[in-house]
Amino acid sequence: MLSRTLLRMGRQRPAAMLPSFARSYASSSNKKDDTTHFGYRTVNTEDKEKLVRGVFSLVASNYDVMNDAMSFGVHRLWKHHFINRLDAGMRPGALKPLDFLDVAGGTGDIAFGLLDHASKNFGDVSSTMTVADINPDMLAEGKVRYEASKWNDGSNRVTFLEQNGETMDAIPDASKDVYTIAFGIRNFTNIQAGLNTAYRVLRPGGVFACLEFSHVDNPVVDYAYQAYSFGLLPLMGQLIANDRDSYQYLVESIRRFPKQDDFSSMIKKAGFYVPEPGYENLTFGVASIHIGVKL
Amino acid sequence: MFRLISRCSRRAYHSTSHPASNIIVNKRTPQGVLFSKALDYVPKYGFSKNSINAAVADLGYSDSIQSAVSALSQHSPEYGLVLFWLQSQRQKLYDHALNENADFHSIGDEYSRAAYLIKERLGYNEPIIDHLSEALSRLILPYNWQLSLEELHNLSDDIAFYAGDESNDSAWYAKRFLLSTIYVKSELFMLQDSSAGFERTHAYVDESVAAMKSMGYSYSSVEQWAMFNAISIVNLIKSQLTRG
Repeated sequence: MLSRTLLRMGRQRPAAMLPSFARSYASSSNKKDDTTHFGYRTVNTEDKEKLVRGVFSLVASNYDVMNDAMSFGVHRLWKHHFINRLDAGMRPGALKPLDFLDVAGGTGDIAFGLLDHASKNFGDVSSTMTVADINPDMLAEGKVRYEASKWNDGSNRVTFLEQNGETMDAIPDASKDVYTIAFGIRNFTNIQAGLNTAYRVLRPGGVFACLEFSHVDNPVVDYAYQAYSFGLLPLMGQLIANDRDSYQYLVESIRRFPKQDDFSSMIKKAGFYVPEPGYENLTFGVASIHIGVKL
Repeated sequence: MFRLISRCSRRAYHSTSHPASNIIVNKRTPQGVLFSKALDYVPKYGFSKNSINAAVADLGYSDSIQSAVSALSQHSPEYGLVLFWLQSQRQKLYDHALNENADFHSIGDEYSRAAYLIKERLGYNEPIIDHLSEALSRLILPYNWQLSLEELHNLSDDIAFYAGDESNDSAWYAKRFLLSTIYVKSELFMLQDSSAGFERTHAYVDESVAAMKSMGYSYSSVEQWAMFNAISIVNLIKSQLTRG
């Protein structure tokens, strides 16, 4: 969901909000206990949530265009692939419907995609979907889309919830079957806390699935990819959306996100069982799918 | 007799950094648990999603666990089930070959042992014989070839090894290739076989292995003859050159 991330590029620019923080290439994200990274900048932990919220507060249709322009439409294929790979849904004759939770899924594209897949492939019309997002503006956008969609059929299967992904106060323990997060976990202040919470809210047998930007293995491809993302993306952001800094944050936060194996270890650390081979790379590793099973 | 097999089947190369593992399938992983249970339903539903669905319901999981099987695999869950079945049958063959009480250990000849193992392995197909063609059709799909062939090679390698193969030249490859061929041919033969207890299939395996043995004998004889003549020619040339 490049779209999701990009859609959230904010009215308030991070650079403008951070006059006193010089860019830092610190290798550790937490030099002191109370700081974290925001792209390549080091900021106070309590500020990051606000900053991310700020970055993602405006939704505009030209970001959809931007999105397609920047990823050449590939983000749609990734999303589609992600949903197919999960192949989630209540099978005919199964005992109970599934409870889905899509985190950082404000606009609902993954959520609706999952419901669509379940109903088309398994005739599942009873599983429930909770869309959680920290940003009320994004949720409002999701609701608008929901009301216009076929899922608004009076069954109230889809609910929208404003929640911090790291705590999920409103979601009880062991209450969900499938936890999905697409292009969202990168923006968590404490990623491990988010994973621990995912473990908490899932039932035994539940699946954690994450689609996120990742790292390209092939050095030649990586060179081209880095040149493109650092050289062209902020420029395109400036030209198309008139917002260079948010796109600078986007590429920096991608670069800062843990590598595939490291992220896989974090999922294991949260308590999940990770099936072999741990992750699947998409488009040379520009994005990857991670899976964890709560046993 | 068991001592004989363990002596015959000692591998020439031994790595201390990779302790020998006899675990072909890990039945403790979620996939292992799910597929093991699904195999119980294969005689009824075949290698289909229905078997997996029934296993999920039987184990009391919700359907979310199915994502654990599908999410990171390039292959369909049905193919995963077929492959799991093949691997678990190979594990069964392994356990049988190491069972001291098996008739297997009273057979001395390498080729007879190979034939015995092939027949034993084919016997494991009996409970699912109605669904075997379905499994084979999944195995030969172009995007599944690689893993299927690897599994077939592993099987023929195991058979050759337990039979006591000690070759270390091109015969090593030839034996494994021929055993794979015989296994596949016999399995296809078995699909058409209506005789009681698959007697005709057994006869077919014996015949094929005997042919392989005579082929090996013929090859060795030709090789011996060719070497003799080659050396003779060299010597002849040398002697002519010496005479000037």
